Amino acid sequence: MKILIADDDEIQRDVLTAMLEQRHHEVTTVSNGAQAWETLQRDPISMVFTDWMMPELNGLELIRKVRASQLGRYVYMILCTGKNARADLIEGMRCGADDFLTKPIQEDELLVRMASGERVLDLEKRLEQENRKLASAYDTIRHDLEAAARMQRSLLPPATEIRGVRFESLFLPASMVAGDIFNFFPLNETTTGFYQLDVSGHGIPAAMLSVTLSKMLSSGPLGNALLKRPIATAPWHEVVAPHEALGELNRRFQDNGDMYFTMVYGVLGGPESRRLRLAQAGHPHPIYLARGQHCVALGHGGFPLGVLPHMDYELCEREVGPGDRMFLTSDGVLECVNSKGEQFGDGRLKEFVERHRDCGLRELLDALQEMLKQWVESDDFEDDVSVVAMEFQGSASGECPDQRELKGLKQ
Amino acid sequence: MQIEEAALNGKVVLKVLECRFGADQAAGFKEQLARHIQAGNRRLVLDLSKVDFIDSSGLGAILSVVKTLGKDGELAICGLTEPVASMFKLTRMDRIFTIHKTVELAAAASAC
Repeated sequence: MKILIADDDEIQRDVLTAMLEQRHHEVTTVSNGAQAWETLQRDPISMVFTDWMMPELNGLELIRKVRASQLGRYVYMILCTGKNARADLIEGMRCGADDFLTKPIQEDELLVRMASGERVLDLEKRLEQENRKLASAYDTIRHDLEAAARMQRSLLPPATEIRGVRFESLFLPASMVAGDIFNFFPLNETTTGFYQLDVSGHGIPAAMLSVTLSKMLSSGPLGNALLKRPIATAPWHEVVAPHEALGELNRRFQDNGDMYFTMVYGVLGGPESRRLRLAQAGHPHPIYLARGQHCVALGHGGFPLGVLPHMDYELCEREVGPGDRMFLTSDGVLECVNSKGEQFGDGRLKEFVERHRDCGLRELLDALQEMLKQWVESDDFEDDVSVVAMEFQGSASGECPDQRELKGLKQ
Repeated sequence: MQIEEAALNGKVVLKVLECRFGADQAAGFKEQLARHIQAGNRRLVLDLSKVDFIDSSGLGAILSVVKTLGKDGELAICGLTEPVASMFKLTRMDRIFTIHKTVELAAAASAC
């Protein structure tokens, strides 16, 4: 082992060096604390015998310096002293000395003190190795999670307009990956589909199920079977009614362990372009804001998906009017809790969207995000927060009535 | 999770003593109920009268207990506070479970 001896007394240095070299240790000697400090910064030495009284930097000052520094390794400090008073021992330990060796040095005492030091250094080394392994594993996991989060976000649709319906969204995952997911897409030449779903729990298992579901619910070949069914006449397929699609989804997604999911799925259009049809499974009610009116909650509830097979879901239908808006929210929005334990709740949400009825949808969602952050007094949420906002053709998207409030919120 | 146990009419009555029933309570709840089911108690009454908040994790925990119980088991629920009742309504769990006003009614009812 590499050992440093710091002592201004040449005879003491030689005696100790001889004892240690006899045991095949590699010894470096210096004659004061300042030199010792330089040596420790340069050479990877982990055990030091230091005299108490030395010129320039004494033993206690050297120990304090070592303890306050970031050498990247533990240095075991043994204070050699002729002093044996209790107060001196306490002062030495307070400065960070690991052990003491009384002069004149006896070989048997030196050996047991060394052995004790080696045990500590060995433990420290093993701990460091374990920490390195953990840090590297953590880096790998974080890297993978970031990749998964990017992939999941890439599945979310950008704001868009489909056949006269403006779609905007808000997505604030609680951890890197989320159990919430949503989409809006053309199902065929006349019909637009949209959904929002929330897998119970969050983190990796929830995210994996939500990604699988989003693939099933795409308008691509996989999703076709679920959302559209073939028929014998042109256009050779028909859009499956939302409540039937949810029933089928429920049948297909049993056995997810303890996970289940809640969802709103709706279609808009078809032969009558203003017909909205949707079904709800355990998910909060969509909020519908008709122009010039108060909010109403749509849907009749419904059993969560993936728990019990053979559940039926109800269809909710209505006509949409120009300028009307609809909001789908996950429970993460409604159950946001403030410092007093109060939930944000659907009353506040309805009041908010009514008050911002003249804002553009994007501005409204940005303001909602700020309001929710202020509500929880944090940028982090306990549950995934997601909102899908829709506005039906024919409205003039104007300025917010209360721009001051928005500006105030953005500060 | 704090759960008070009592026996009534040959059923085990489990009263949840927490006011919140969310993700933090779900694992403990499932664990304790699984213990009862393993011990052979298959007729359970769940008293939620102290709970004034339940979220999807809490509902999930109750649903997983129903699955563990299987067909020959019975889980009656009683004492729903207003917020919990509205959550049961939203998720239609009020149609899956037999829901009673009081513990006595739940314990007296025979398995259907």
